[in-house]
Amino acid sequence: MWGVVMRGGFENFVGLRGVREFVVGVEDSARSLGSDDVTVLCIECDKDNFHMIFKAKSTLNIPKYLNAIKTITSREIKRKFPEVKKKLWKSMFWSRSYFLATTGQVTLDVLLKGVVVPYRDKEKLFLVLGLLFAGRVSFGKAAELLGLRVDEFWDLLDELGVKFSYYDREEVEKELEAYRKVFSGF
Amino acid sequence: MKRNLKRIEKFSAVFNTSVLIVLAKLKYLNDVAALFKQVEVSRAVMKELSARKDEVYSRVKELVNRDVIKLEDVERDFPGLGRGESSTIFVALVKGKVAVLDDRKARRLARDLGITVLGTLALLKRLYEVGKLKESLEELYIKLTRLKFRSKCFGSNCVFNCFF
Repeated sequence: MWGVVMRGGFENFVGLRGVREFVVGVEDSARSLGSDDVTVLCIECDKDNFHMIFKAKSTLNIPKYLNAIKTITSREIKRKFPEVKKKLWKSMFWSRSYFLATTGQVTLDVLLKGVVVPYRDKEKLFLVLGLLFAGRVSFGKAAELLGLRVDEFWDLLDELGVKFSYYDREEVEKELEAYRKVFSGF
Repeated sequence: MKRNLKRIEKFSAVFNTSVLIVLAKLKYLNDVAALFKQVEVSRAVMKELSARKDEVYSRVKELVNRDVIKLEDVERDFPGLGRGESSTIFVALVKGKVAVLDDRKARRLARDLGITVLGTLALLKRLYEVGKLKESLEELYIKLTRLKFRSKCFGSNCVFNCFF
């Protein structure tokens, strides 16, 4: 399962016609492209980026799929709303990059909730959560990367429903051992 | 018992951000500071705390001003760890003190370096054993849960029960 974030020049455009129409447009394209290999689970649109979570067979050529979505949506939107063209730089609707992550590191629940979590940079949030769950960074570093204090980060994790503990069996044992050493005179 | 107390006095500790936050919110900072010969924090930790100028920060600041907690002018960066955690480990390593940390990755690194590592729960356990805990264990558990302190259960074991 994959989550993807794309950025595009639709800030002005969304103001013109509203988010709703846009999401419907993208959703139709994504679904029609997907045929049997892809199931689109969730699409959400922000001011200048959109998030999509989809399930794909391992044989799917993902970059090709994502670029096809970009091409088709861009073409369709320009056809439907020609006024968009005037607002674009170099007539490109989407930015060239996209952010893609498997939900392997972040559970689907978190991803779906993440879509409504009030953290402004969701790309960054998912990336940092992935690093944290994979053990690449510590809690302190994760909070630092997100620009939060540790207790604010705890609140955020709680809101996301993440059950990630400081302790496992080994930690508890080691800590009790250290406790005896420090406080009970060995 | 007296001999034990003497031994306890030998230890000084370096505290990390999360520990200070939990203890300050539970209003046990003073009591915990009294458990050690000396308590230190690094400047990096103070910086992390000062991201929000709330009661936690003002309480720690007050203790620093009263010299109950000593401020170490250290800021270090270890790969994968936060600045507060890195500095805490650094001070503990250089000065041979006990590091009080909660994060698993930071604790593992500290232990690999030969530092004695304690966590927030160990300090609360000590307060409980010396009779300084103002509330019952159930109340403490509820308070910790409300603070969203990351001590969820693993398997069928409740972390809290393992300690108390």
